[in-house]
Amino acid sequence: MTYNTLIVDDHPMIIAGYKLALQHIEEDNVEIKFSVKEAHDCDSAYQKILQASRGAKFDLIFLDIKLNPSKDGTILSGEDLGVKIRKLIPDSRIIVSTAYNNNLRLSNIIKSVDPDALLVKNDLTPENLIVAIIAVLNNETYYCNTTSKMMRAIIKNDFVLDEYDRLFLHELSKGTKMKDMPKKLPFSIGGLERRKRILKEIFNVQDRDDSKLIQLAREKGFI
Amino acid sequence: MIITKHFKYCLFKTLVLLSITSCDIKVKNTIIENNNIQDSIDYWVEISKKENLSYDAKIKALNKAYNKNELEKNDSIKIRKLSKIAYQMFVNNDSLLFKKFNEEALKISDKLNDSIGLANVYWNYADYYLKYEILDSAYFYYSKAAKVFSLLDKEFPLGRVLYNMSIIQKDIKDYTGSEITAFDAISNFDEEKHQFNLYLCYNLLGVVYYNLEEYNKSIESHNRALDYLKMIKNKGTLIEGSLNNIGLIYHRRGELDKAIKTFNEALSFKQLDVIDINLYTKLIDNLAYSKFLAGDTLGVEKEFYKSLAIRDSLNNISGILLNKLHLSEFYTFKQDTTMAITFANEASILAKTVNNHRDHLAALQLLAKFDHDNSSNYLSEYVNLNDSLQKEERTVRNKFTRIQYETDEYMSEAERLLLEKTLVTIIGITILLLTISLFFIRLQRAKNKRLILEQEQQKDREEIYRLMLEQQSKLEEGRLEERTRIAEELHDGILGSMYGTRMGLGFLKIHGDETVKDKFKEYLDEIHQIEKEVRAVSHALKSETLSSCNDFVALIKVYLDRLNKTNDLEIIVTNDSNITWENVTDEIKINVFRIVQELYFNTIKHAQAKNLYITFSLENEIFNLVVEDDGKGFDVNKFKKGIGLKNIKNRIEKINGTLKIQSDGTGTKFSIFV
Repeated sequence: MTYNTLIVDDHPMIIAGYKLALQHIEEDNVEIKFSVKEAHDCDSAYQKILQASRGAKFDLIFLDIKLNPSKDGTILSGEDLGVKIRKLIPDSRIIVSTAYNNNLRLSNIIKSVDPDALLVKNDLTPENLIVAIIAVLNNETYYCNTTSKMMRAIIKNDFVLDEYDRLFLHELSKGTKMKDMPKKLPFSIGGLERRKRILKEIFNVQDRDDSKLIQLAREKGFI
Repeated sequence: MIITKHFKYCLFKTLVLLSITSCDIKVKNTIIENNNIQDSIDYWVEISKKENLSYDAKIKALNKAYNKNELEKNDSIKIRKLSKIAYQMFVNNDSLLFKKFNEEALKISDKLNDSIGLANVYWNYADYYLKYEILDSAYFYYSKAAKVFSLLDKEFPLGRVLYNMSIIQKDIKDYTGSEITAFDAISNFDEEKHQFNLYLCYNLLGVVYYNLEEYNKSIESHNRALDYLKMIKNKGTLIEGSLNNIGLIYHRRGELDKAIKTFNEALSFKQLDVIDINLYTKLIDNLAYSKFLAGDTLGVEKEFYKSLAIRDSLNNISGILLNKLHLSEFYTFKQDTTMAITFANEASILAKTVNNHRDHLAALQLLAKFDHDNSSNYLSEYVNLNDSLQKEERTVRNKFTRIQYETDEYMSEAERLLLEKTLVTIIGITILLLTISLFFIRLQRAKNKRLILEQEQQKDREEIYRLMLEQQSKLEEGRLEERTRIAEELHDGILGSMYGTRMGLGFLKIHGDETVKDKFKEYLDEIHQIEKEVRAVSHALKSETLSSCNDFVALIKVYLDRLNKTNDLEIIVTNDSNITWENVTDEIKINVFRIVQELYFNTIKHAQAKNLYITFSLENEIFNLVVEDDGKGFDVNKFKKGIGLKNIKNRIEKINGTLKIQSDGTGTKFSIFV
């Protein structure tokens, strides 16, 4: 069986790596063949996906998250691209591989793209890449080590943070000042202060300083 | 006409007598003022007054007194004594020494600005000139003395001087002026104390009214004079003198009976011929004349001759003249023309020799009447003499008017000067006030300016701080930006490449023995490890942003580190993470910053400390800044008013904080609570 495969990554070395992995699988399994296409940015990737949605659909798509945004500004990252793919080619299997290892991003990716495999480049080796690809080909889901850990941490929490709380915490962790917050979040400073107080109560933080809160939020897998 | 002249003459003489008497009284007063026998000057002066002493001895005594006085200091007492000595010289007729001493007294008085001394000197001069009948000069000095006394409110001496002035005015026939001056004098005397002086004044007034032909007033004045005389113990022959004057008035009014009665009353005084032979003969003469005019010629001739004989023996020329004129008239009445002409001629010649113009005129008139041969000659002589007399009188009066005018002018000049002085004073004070207010306005302005400048400085400082903060945050921003860029570069570029490379290497088919394969795997893992490290670095770079958000403390640290480069001082800044510096106002921040700065400089300059601890903390919602060093400390009380500490206190007050200072030999601790 031949799998129509699209590799979306801005790094030629990584594309080469994926190709080597696919080649490895082909060598091990004679009945499996990959027809590989590649895209280096959002525009070309989207174009190829559009074409594929009308004709030969992709069976397997490698998707990098960090990509140059599309020229019209509608697709900012691999995440957006993933959402489009899910719409245009619902049957395709998506392997997201990303250099991001922060929890918020990862959980967002799971929510929006719902990839068949989520790989964090940090803990990816040739071996578990092959394992991941084979798992996906077998219609299984594969989460790498980091992702699995994060999901466990979140499930373990006895409270739930909404999207804005997590965004807020994320902004705080980036060092965004409170006075600049309303530009990034649809709340007033007063509202945000209240939110922060509640967050500190949730995380059981007494410090006035936010660093403890951010540290804890990171530990608990929210950011 | 003739009769009038004669009476006037009699009155004139009486008055000269009276004016000299008044001088004597004055001397007595002076003695009472300074009667101090122990004083040797006074002693010598007293000696000079003794009547039994010879002229030379008196002058000698006075010279001794003068020499004693000369040794004294120049003061007002010396002036008094000097003028007393001078007066005694005058009494003793030594005009040379009198002038010398008086001159000296004048100089000293001028120098010491002693008005009373000056007035006494003027008085002396005036008496002197009056004695020698230099009337204008006498009047001039009297008026000068009067001015001083009136300024000083010395009533009694003023009255005396005015009285003398009045006499002089009468003598030059300025009767109205004399009347006014006499009343002026009277107003200065006291009814109780100065009855004698009042008597003199009223007597004078009586004479003046007589000359003004206001006989009723004249009699009234004389009666008042007599009233005052009754209150005086030592009357002498004054009553008889007054009676003589009153008798003359009656005579003049034609009431000859009353005149005769009055003269007789005066003559009833026993021993009058012994005590005052002049007055006695005058009375006899006047009585005889009145009787003769009343038609009672019995014994009149004998009386005339009697008085003439006495006057002859006394060599009383004016009396002889009058007697001779009376006799001439009497013989005319008797139609003994030869006798009449003889007496008239004698009188005329005698009057001419003694320059008695009035009697000369009367004699000429009589001669013209009886000596028909030379009548025209006598008449023309009479007219000439009369004219020249009138002319003289006019010039004298003019002179006095001039003195009066000069005095008035002097007074108005003085007034003008006073006005000028007042004006100058007022202008001076105004200018002074203006200057002072100008000075104060300028001072105020300078103060305001300084305040404004201080405010501006404060503003500028705050601006500088704001700029520093801004710069700091910009720097931070730039740093952050650069870090993010490096982090992203690491993450996306280098990590990607490494990841790709590792993948590529991982899928390589390694041909070789197991050790080579193991080694390969090992290196691959090593690369993976490096990859992880790079990622960690990238993350660290990004998350570092969090810890550097305390701009203010960072600013202080950076600032102090920069200042401290050349010093050995170790600065340890501790910040409580509970302090949300973002919420602290810029005002507090700048003041805290300045306080820290000031304290840092104090430590550097004075403390010789090794460590400086700056701690920001928050306790019970109270912000707490503690700056502590381990230097030698200082006396807190002694330096309470130092400018640096004052500034710190001001700043703390501005941000409503409190300050606690602890200092001893081991260090100084400033605690500030806001």
